[in-house]
Amino acid sequence: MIMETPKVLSDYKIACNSHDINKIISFFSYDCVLEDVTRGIAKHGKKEVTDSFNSMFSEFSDLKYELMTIYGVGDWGCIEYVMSGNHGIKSFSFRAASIFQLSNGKIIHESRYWNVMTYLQQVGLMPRLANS
Amino acid sequence: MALNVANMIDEYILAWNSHDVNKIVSFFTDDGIYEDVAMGIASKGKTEITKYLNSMYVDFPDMKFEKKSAFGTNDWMGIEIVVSGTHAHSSLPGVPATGKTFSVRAAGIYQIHKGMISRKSVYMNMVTFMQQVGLMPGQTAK
Repeated sequence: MIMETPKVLSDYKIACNSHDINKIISFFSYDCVLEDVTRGIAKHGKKEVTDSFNSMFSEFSDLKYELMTIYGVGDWGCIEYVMSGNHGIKSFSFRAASIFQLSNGKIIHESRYWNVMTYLQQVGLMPRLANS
Repeated sequence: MALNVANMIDEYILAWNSHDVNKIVSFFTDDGIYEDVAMGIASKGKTEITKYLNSMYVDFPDMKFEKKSAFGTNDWMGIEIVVSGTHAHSSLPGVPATGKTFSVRAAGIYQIHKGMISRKSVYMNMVTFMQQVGLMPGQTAK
């Protein structure tokens, strides 16, 4: 039986918080695309997506995802969440959104949207703007 | 009556492309919230949203919105768009208008109440925009 999209996305984020790569990858289809729109990077297939998560958890060993909203209908869904962690001695916490397309209960495309400026300012790699 | 989400999305994007602020604002509830997450700005209520949109269309008078994906139900919508235009004017103190063009992707998450938008949260990368219009190094300005 195929799970409803909101349940898939909720379980996916639980797996992301566990940093269990095998569990995370099990949510993706073989021909999946994980697209970080902010960085202009797209990972294709389970191997590249696995490498991407391994790299991210290696760099941010305490990375957490706090779900704010989760919506889904048919094969489409979206979530809003807060990503937090530490970069050296500096901590960060910023909001992000992901748009998902699924097929047979598996993620075939995730597009992540976030503001790198917020992250860079919080970890001290970029000055804050006068109005920020 | 069930909301025709597909029609609402198309009419909403049409209103944005027509630059008809009154029409756009008519999609929101009286206490609707328009939140620009990247800028950390939330406009609350029709008056604030109107002011925010007017300022946006002054700064980017040729602003266009191209739908990439859209879906939703009676209670929410998700829309991916490409926003493009020219940085012709600047409403931000100390930030000069560069006259450069931009084209950036953004995602909007909407909460719907009785057929109207009660919250819109927009997610995009400000750095991409600033690099394209020449306000930050890192990418050749158009």
